[in-house]
Amino acid sequence: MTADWLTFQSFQRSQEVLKAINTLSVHLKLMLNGIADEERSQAAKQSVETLRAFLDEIEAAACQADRTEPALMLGVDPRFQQLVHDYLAARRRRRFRSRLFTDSIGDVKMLLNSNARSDQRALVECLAELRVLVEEHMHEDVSQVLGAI
Amino acid sequence: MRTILRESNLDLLNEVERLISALTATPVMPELAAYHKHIVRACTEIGEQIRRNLRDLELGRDDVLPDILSDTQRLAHDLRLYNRRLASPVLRGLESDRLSLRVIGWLHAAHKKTAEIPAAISTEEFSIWPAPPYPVVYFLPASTQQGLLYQPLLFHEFGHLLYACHEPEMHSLVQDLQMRIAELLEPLARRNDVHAQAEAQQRATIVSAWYNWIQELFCDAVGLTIGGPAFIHAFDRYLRIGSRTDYHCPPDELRLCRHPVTWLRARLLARRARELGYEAIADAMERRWATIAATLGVEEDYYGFYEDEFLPVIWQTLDDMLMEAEPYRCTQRDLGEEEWTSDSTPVHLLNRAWRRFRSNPDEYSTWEHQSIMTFCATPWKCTA
Repeated sequence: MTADWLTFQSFQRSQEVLKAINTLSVHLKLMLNGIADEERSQAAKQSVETLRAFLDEIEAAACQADRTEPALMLGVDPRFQQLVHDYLAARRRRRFRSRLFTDSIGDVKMLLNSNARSDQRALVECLAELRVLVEEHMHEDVSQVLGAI
Repeated sequence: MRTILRESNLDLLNEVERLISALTATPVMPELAAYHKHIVRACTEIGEQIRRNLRDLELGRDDVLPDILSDTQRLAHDLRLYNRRLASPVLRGLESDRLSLRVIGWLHAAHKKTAEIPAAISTEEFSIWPAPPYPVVYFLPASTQQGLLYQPLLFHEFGHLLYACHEPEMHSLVQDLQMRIAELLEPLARRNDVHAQAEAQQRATIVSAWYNWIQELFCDAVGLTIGGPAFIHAFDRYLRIGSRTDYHCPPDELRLCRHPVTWLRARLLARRARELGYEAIADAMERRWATIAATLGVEEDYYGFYEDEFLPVIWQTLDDMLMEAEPYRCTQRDLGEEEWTSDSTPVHLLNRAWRRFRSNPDEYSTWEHQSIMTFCATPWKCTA
């Protein structure tokens, strides 16, 4: 009896989040350039909800980690804990410059529903850097689920 | 970059269309029909998303190229997943898969949260990929697919799916458990030196380990609740002869273990079995594990990862998790002496199998062969 379930669930979550990031990012960029992109508008709304739930989870886990020394995240699966550690480390090291890594997550969640063009531009920057974080994180899961060629 | 992405997306489209052709050309047994439909639909959706990438490329905008690159990589991962792992249960189409597929089909149909989730089987060590919206795959070793005796271990794997289906509530229960264990580990007096920091780190490691450990113990409890004595026998026979680390795990290894030490699992399984009235079976199992441990020269020690004082809170958490998940409960009829008939459950058949095997091992093989034929010959209706 192995514990592949954990890896596979982590893989699934990353894939879902990447789909949401990419869908919303393209949609926002097209909108910002005056292209209606109606074909993707429903999927973009769904992506907003997916990302809001994902950011909620990161925020809750990061909040727990901040409260304890050494950092403890209770009721959080170990792969997601690793992602939160990566996020917090990236913030500490000032690795990224978007508001996701300089402001609070709550502020970024506000951007998700904003119609202001400046907010949408800021959100596009956040999505690009969140994508880097998720893609790096899922590398281990991809190797285990799909193997290497 | 646009040219590279266009080529890559066209390659993926070609691959997914080939895969869909292979899937639709393959004869599918009724037990796999829902799974087959699910993966064909999923592959068709992958194709649609690839076409959307190609349309986005036609827009000629450079600013979306990083998004399309990431999405192409994501779709390539999904396609590889279906190509390598999720399509093979359909493409291999083994007649011998029917037995496990019927057990799993009944299992899913017996619970309102899983009734609509399609599943298949593949060959590996016992495990599961429980991550809807992907279809669920149960893995079990090739030889165990051919017989009845180890099918009950699928009930443990089903526990992981139940956990996933009740994730928010389960996470909350696990969080409470970890908090209580953290409190129990808290020292009476605090120092402020390097040694104290190391101890605090060790306590955090123990508390973290219980995220996975309680889920495995929950899955054992689910297996027992569904399968009754058949699960205990399957667990005992399959796991007791594993390795030294199933009885004793060094501290440095323990921190990396995603499962509790198997001997601890056996002890807690025996405890729950006694609660359910299977005292004799539980006692016999514990004696066997103790005998093997003694032969290995192993003494029970979990190096603080488990202490008897954790037990009340662990037990309460498991009870709460079972109440939340509501798995099928093995009935008196499932334990009856009469032969399996089509209006009975697979749990009845698997308990019959273990009784026959234990009482008359020499004739078991003939009986099992006939029983599997009868079980698989009944009209397939995927309802509990």
